[in-house]
Amino acid sequence: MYKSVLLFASCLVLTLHVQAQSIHGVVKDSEGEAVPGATVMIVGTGLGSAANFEGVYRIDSAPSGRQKLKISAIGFEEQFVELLVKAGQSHQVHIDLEASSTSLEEITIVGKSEATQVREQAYAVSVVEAKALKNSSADVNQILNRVSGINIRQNGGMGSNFNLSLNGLSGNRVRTFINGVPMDYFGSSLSLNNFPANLISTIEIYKGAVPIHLSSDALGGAINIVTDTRAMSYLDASFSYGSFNTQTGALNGQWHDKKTGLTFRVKSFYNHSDNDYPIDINILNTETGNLDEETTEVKRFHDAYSSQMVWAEVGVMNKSYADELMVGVVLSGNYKELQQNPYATGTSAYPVGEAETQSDIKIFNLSYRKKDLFVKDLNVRGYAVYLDANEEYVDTSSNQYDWFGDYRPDVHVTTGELGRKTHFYLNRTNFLANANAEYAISSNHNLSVNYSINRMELQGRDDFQPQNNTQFSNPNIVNKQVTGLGYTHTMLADRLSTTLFAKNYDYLIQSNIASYDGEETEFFETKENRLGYGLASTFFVNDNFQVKASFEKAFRFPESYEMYGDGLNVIPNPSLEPESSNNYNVGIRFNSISQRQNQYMFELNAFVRDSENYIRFEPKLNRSTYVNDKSVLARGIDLALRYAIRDQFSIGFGGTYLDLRNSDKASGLYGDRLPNEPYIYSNLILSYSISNLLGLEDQLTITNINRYVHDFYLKWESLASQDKSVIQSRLTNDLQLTYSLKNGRYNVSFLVSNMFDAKVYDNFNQQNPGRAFNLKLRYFISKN
Amino acid sequence: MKKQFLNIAAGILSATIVLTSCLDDDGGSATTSHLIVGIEAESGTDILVGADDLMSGTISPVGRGVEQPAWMSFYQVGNTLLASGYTSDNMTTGYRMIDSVLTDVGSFITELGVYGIAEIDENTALVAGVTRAGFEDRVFYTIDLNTMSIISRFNTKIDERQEEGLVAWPTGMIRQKNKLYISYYLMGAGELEEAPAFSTPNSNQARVAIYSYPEMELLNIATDDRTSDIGLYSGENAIMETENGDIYSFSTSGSASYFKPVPSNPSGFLRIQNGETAFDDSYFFNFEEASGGFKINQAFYAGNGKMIVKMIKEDSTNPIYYGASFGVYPETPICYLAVADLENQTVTPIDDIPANGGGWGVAHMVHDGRVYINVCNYKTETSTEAYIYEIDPETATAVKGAEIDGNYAKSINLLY
Repeated sequence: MYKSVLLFASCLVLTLHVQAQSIHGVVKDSEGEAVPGATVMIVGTGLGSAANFEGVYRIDSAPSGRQKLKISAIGFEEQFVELLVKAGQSHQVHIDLEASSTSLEEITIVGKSEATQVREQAYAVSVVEAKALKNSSADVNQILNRVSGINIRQNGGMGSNFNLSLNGLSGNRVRTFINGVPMDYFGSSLSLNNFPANLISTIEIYKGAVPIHLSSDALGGAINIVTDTRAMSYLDASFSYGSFNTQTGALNGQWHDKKTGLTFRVKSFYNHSDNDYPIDINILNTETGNLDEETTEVKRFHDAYSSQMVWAEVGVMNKSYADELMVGVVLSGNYKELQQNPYATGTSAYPVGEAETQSDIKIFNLSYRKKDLFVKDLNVRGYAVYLDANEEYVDTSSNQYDWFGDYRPDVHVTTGELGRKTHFYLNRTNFLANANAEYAISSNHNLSVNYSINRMELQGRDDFQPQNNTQFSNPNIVNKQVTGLGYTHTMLADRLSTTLFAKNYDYLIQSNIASYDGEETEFFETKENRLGYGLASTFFVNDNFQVKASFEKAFRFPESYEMYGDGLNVIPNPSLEPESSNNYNVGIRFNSISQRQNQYMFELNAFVRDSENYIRFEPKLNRSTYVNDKSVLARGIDLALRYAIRDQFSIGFGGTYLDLRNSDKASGLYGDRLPNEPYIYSNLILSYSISNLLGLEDQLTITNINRYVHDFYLKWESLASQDKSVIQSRLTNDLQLTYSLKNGRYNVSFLVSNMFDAKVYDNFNQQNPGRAFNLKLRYFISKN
Repeated sequence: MKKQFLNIAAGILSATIVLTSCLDDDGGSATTSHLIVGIEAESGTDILVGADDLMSGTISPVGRGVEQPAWMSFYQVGNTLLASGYTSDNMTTGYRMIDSVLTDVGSFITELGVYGIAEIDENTALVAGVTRAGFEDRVFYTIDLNTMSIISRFNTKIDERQEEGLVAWPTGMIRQKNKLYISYYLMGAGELEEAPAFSTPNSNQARVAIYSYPEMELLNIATDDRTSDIGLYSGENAIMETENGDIYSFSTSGSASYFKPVPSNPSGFLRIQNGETAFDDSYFFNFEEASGGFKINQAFYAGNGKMIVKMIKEDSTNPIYYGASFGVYPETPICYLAVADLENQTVTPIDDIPANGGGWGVAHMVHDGRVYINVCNYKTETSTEAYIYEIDPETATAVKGAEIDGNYAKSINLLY
């Protein structure tokens, strides 16, 4: 008894003694930024700690004596520090980590990546790290489609119209950005379905509440594509070839001189596809006007698409006055053939054989960012973009085509293939600018302000249609300004973080509406001002369990073409009101401790989007229009699960249930699901990878992607009971093999999409491609 | 190991599929009523709904009826209801009662958009295909309703006047024995400066083209300078046959009926006597005079020498009236209903029906001497209303009947 008490007492003394000596400090990168998630381990002891948001780590009960610390973090060189731990003393050791030269390809499970940092913000956010996807021949759309809560619907192959829905809100309600610059202004030559994965560092998906630096009138969330902007030199070249003569090439490089800070950066790509995939159609008997009862397989023959872009920037990085100051120019072009009216339901009996669209875009951009400007913890950044786009739409052919690509000449001499003859030239100029400043008043208080302006001017003419000539002869102007203010407060040792923000929207639209004969125009001006606000909060129950909640009162103003028509298929609705939405999100995220061999992750988000004056597209071919639905309520959940065994096998599941309904009590359609909106979709991704297969620092990854979309009605569910149009459920399975050599310097990827050749139909019941193959080669080299 | 994962994956996928039930797309409950009302439901979806009673309750497309693919117009030929509209292709679909169920009996696709359908006989329809602008042939399709297929096409420009920039827009068709009467109005083709699309610079004359049928040889273009061009864009069949085989036409002379410039001749009815190929010189019903300043907007024959007229009193110099008859729910309704007696040339307003909104044609049905008609109106800033009214043409009285659940009724038909 005496003995054991003594033992206990000595243990206690020992413990107290040990606890009395600790090591703490801050882990920073070469730019002085905290490295959250960096791990600091005492070599040979198994003792260690992970740095928090602020890069602060603390190891209590460090054994006394000479100790060696090992500091590691993803994207950084491992570092060792030796120190003498004195009994009963507290030791402060600050660490500066150097970015690692091979960081792009390095895979480390310990520590939090940048993506994890973003993920752990208070906003409801999903982050896709393109690192693993850079070798894949997927475009951004395909990558996004694997994120829970997102569903992308596409009319056909590469370059076709698509519609992205994020937690129940879709189309323009979800704004897309490239490095914070609104993407829609790049026009069709730079969009989610042609932007190659190579260019991307991460993709941030803000569901519901959007931080103020992504400055636009996003009603239902935002997607920010972040390209690599680190100060280093690299070259990244890829080429892919696949079914339907689909070719993509991307060449990206950066040259950075460490001494002078001089930096050249080029991003470029080329995409082409014939999109001549087979579809099943009921052939029209042109004599009787009847459609064949049996379907016949034909190839699409007028659906080719090509686009190209070069974005060159020059400037300096890592200077005392700027972390980055770059000027650049973008040249891009786009050509698309139309196989049928994009708003047609199903497959037209008379295909289109000659109508086409094209665009040329010139962009000049200036970007600046600096951390610790004048004073410490004052970070500023800004950009200015000027854009000049020329778009052309041609539908002048009088020939009448059939699905075999043959035609009868001059069948409809006065009309084109889609409607009135048109050769429409539209010039669009945009000036966008954004300025953002963040200041950390103290380690717990952070203030940010943001201002953005976006002025668009449209002017055009038509060789054939007097209506377009008149409507677009005087410039139509849209001017949006958003001023944002944000405040972030952290407490409870950074475990609770809350952001409050407000956004002031100023909106001006000036437009003309012309009568059908082009004889008369009416001038419209709409001025609106709205105040949006929100709150995002997150709490870490412990290191691996995070709870999030956010709210935003958001607004979106009608686009010019929604309100005043596009001169082609969309007819004006000048009485269109801005839409607003109260967005609520709650989420939990739980992941296994990083030391585990087998990792798991569980994320569940629930959301509500309570929208007023919901702007809905009513597709009626060339009488299509945008209307306000008085009240629409979306509720839903999305779930993401991932389990990985020894970094070799992983299984991921993402699923979404969406309850998107008309909630206008005065409406006869109260309680009805909104038409043409999928409401159950999920994906399952299995992946297996082997490293050092041939001992050449190589890695082979096999990925199987399965995606399911449940069937849904094209029109209102409660109306009618017979002949209701249904878009059938779809299940597609893709298989991808990726092989990398020399730590990712050489890469080969082979993709079989829709491997079981399922017949799938999407937007407006138009048939999507069947089985397709794609081979991609990629070369990547970098140096610091 | 990998196999195990694939098994798990397959398991999860199949569970997803099994757990989520599939949509009911096997047709739902059938439409068995012989009274078919075409309704533009809220949000603009068109539905053919079977109605039990036109005079009471509500006729609703919720959970019943046949969904239409687009914004449609409906026509009846014999016992076939034809639906045609802004579908992806110019597709016309036929419906008949088969075993007491409203059944899709097939579709045909025309090269040109359909802007009018007339009866040849109960199994044959004549369909007018028209382009909306430019100098181009009009195509008249003969349709076998049993097979729902095109059996012949006839191309004609009817009365194209390239030097004036005008084309003929058909507004009505009647086959009478071996003759086909086609009324039309001269409309700007949008090709010449002085004749923009849809303008009517030369409309102070009524015109009917008369062809032999089925040879389709032009026999005559009957003209009359006492009134204006017959019919209106996308309106009711503007020529009608009475019990004794006389043909009556209506001319609107109306700015509200989409005429610009507005014809100076008065709005009224003309007659072509049974078997004739010219207007009856001895007959002109000056509607404008007889009604005290109203112009005909739409009219249809109710039997026994009575026309039901949708009429408008307009200030033709005020541009607000231009095309106003197509406004379904104007805040200030401008359309009134009246009974016009063709023989006595009198106009009796139907006071039981309030001033109401316009539209593309008038949904109506004549049955057992009574007329059933859609009347729609603006209610509040956010709501509208539509009712069926029953009119007694003899007394020019009307009774309010069933309410339409939706925007308005586009057609009322009885199929056997």
